[in-house]
Amino acid sequence: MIRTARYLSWIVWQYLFGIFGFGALTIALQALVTPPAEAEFAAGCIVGIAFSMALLFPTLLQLSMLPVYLPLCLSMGVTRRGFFWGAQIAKLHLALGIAAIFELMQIAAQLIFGLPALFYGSSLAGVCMTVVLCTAVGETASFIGMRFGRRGITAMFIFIGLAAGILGAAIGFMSAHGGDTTGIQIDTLIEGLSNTPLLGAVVLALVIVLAGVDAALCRRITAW
Amino acid sequence: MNGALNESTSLYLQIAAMIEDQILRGLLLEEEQAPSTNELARLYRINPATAAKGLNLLTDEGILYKKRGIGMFVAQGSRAHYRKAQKRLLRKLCKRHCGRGAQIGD
Amino acid sequence: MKNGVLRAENVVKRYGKKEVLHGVSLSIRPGKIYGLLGRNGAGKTTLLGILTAQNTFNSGSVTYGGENIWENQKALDEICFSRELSPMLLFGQNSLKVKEYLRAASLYHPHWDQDYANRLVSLFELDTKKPIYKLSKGMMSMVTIIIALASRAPVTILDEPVAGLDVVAREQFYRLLLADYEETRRTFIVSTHIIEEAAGVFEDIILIDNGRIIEAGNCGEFTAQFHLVAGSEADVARACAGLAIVHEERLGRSCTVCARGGGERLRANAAGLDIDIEPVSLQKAFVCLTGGQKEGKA
Repeated sequence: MIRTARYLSWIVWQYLFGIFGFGALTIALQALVTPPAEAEFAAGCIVGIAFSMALLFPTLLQLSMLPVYLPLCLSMGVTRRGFFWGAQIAKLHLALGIAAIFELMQIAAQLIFGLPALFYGSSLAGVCMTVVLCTAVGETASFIGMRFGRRGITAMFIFIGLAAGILGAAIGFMSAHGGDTTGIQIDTLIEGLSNTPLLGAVVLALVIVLAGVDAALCRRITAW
Repeated sequence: MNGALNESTSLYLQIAAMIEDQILRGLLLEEEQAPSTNELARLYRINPATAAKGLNLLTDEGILYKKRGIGMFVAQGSRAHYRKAQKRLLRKLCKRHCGRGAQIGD
Repeated sequence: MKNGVLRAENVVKRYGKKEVLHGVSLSIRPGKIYGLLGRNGAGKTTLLGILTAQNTFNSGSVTYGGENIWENQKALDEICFSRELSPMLLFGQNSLKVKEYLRAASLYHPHWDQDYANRLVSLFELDTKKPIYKLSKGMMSMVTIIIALASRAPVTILDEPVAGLDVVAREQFYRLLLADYEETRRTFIVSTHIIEEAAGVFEDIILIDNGRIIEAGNCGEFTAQFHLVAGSEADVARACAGLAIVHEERLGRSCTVCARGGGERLRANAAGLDIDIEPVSLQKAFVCLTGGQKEGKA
């Protein structure tokens, strides 16, 4: 487990470095290009990009990382159990890293454009939860793909489609109920998570269930 | 007998034969240390167990003897033993070839 | 745990409905160099994957030192399976750079010797910054070799380590292997197609054909059972009475037969007959046994 955590974390750091660079570049570009009158718009753009990053990147990175590294590590003689738990640690590492970058981008937007952060009530905890959920989805999708070969890849896409659909429905549901349709709608989820413990509990439960699915799938995966 | 191994007889027999040859030619003297299994394995690029088998064969025949902690040494009287055996073999070969010659001649 | 016997008992492996390993049993005893020989598709790599808990199987058992190896990290730490790398892989592992691959190996093999790995990398003049898919077949083999040797694992398995290597590099490999063996006396299993030049390196051999183990035992003793008998049909038949004929070739009135059985019996039968008796190389014996030729008793 420790060995896998070490090995995967080294890879996660590289991903985070890349994402950080991407985020910094986005902000720099906006700062250079935006005339002062459009500061609010620019800040909104940045935060929007940061959001998409926070949702997409964890899913995609987990999805692309695991199918490469699980068979590789298996061929090096690690147990599936050892890899699974090491991967959980790496998952948290990735999620926390992305959440931190997301928060940093918000703070930077605030500092540069002199506007308060657009996401009132978004807490670090809420952001982390969302990102962890996205990594869990990515991880489960990749396990499905690895376990079932060619049919698995189809199943994987279906799974991601379902997850995205559920997310969209959840956002719509919360927006309708909360009556808050200002700004970027994706933030409703994050606000909801930050302010509704029940929702947070549901997400946590989902993450655990997905991890359980991964553990079950993991048992019969073979090396390359 | 040259210094290379071939695909014919078993490798360990070839190793034994090579040592015999060295003794016969006086390249390896009595009471001198024989090559070790590791040396033979390295030289001929073979498994040390095979080299050891060849040396053990010679030990069983009394050609080599073991000095504890040091290695294998050529026993006294080996050269003479081989010269006798060589003469016998040559006589046998001659008979065979002469027989063949007779076959072809008529 | 160390120096245990790696044992497979009645292992059966099916891919869907097709059975590829039919009740395979073998014992790998510590401290020997084994040659695992078999044709393409005989089941070598599948078997090796199963022996190292990397592939699943349908029935039977695989143990190391008496303990089941499945999900057994302690046992797996003693075993290294250095696979044959290939330019085409399912999920893109081969976009990894050589040095990342080596790094994984160094992290996961508890007995890893980094100095040895570095020496081998410079000996082979390997560019570790290259991604795997850009390597030539020979360089991929070199990576396989480096991982196997530097792992210093008590049981080290090499799958086709000389594929793609030219003859000079192959000789280099055999010498490296023997030098390592001289120093560490660890267990090696080498799976290879290139039989004859490696024959001297093996102490024991395992022959696998169509998912079954057809031979397992000392290499020299196995090869010594076979003889090539040539002469007229009648003489050859008389000489081979009571022996198993593994392969037969005819040219007009003469015939050459590969016979298996005691050398003494053959010589006794052959007294006075005008036939040639020659020993058979490991490669020839292998080809005769697995070439699908006629089998029968004289």
